[in-house]
Amino acid sequence: MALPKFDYIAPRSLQEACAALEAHPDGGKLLAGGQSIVRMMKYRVIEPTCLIDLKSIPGLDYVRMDDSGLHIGALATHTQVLESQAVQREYPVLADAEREVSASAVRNWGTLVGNLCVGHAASDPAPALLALEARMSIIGPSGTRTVPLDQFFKGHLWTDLQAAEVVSEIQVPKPPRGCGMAYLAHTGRAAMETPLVSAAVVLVMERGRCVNARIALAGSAETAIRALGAERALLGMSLDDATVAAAASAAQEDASPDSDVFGSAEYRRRLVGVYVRDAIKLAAQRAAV
Amino acid sequence: MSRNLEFELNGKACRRDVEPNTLLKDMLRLDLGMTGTKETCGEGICGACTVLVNGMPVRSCLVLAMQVGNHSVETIEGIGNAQNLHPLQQAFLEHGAFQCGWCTPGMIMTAKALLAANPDPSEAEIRDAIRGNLCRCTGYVKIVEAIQAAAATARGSNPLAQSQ
Repeated sequence: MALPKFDYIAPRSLQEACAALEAHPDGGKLLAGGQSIVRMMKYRVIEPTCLIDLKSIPGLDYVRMDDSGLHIGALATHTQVLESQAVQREYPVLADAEREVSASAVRNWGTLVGNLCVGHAASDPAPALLALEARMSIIGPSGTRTVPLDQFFKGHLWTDLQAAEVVSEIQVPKPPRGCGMAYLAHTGRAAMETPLVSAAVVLVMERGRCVNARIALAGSAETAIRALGAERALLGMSLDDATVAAAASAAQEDASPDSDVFGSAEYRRRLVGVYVRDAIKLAAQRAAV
Repeated sequence: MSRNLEFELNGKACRRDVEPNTLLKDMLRLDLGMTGTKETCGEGICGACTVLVNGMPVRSCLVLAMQVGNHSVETIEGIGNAQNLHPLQQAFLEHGAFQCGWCTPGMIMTAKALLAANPDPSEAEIRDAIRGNLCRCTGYVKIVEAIQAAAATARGSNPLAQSQ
């Protein structure tokens, strides 16, 4: 499959990338690893007239930890995130989700920020980062701003990014002390598949009761979402089977899946219940009591 | 408008004029005549077009040629030839690790990157590494055996080689 013709700009800084977007208000599009958008261009889902290649900007492929938490640069690949010791040690839910992304050849070139900026509901890392309360740092013509990830996702292939804005990094706060995390995904086959449905859970337990719960879903609405009803169902409770079942049932209410060739809405809703139940149990096992 | 592109191809400096919409696999196959790299699905799923960039497997059907500027690219043509086979190529032959052969270049490039990072992979690690390379002929058993044999040869501990 061939790509249509387009112009190509290789900026040397994020400011230059913003300026290039401003200069191409109609057909300008940012390119990072291109593992989604090159495919979308082949199928003419999008037809940009000018690609602005962020991979030409040095110094943005970092994954680093400081006192405020984790910082993932705009050009950090899935592989870099997955292999980060800080991610494996402090944010295992993100490592587990990144491990599910496609295959190593895609993870080696594709970026985590690019994955999120596509805004697809079937993203493995999106629910993990929602459950970790990640924020997007954005640079635009009028300065910088920070948006919580749950406000960044607006709809199918639709994010909060405005004209001439570029995501510079993802910020992930330090996880609560003693929390347990889990990510479970349902795919049609073991490899090379986006999740049909997946659930990410981050729990804090104190004296046998859940004092903090964050649950997020992929493939369960037109974008990745927090399952707020399921979170409320766990707060203050000991996680016996009835409570977990109530949370799973609430997650099914939080979900608003559509039917497509991969699965019906009813099937996806059933999967939400199963995967939220199992992910809560796994996260609870891993939490310090 | 075509752009000048400089990169390293199979260990040698390479300079080409390419259009921005040229994919890496098309530059390799159509412009440079290196048809060892195959394309099947064209959307990053099958792995037939896998080449190494800076030693890492990538999908050459989803990478713009422009994006390999100043990087090193390695293809199946660069790792061995009929007179001097790479240990992986030799092992694929000895173990009958292909039938139609279409997935083989991508499979071998993926395996080469695996063995560079992990000289003694378990079967599970091999299967995980090649999970993005689809073979519709072999059922993977002989491919896994070939990669294990090549790894043993590279470590100097191939039981077949020792017994001879």
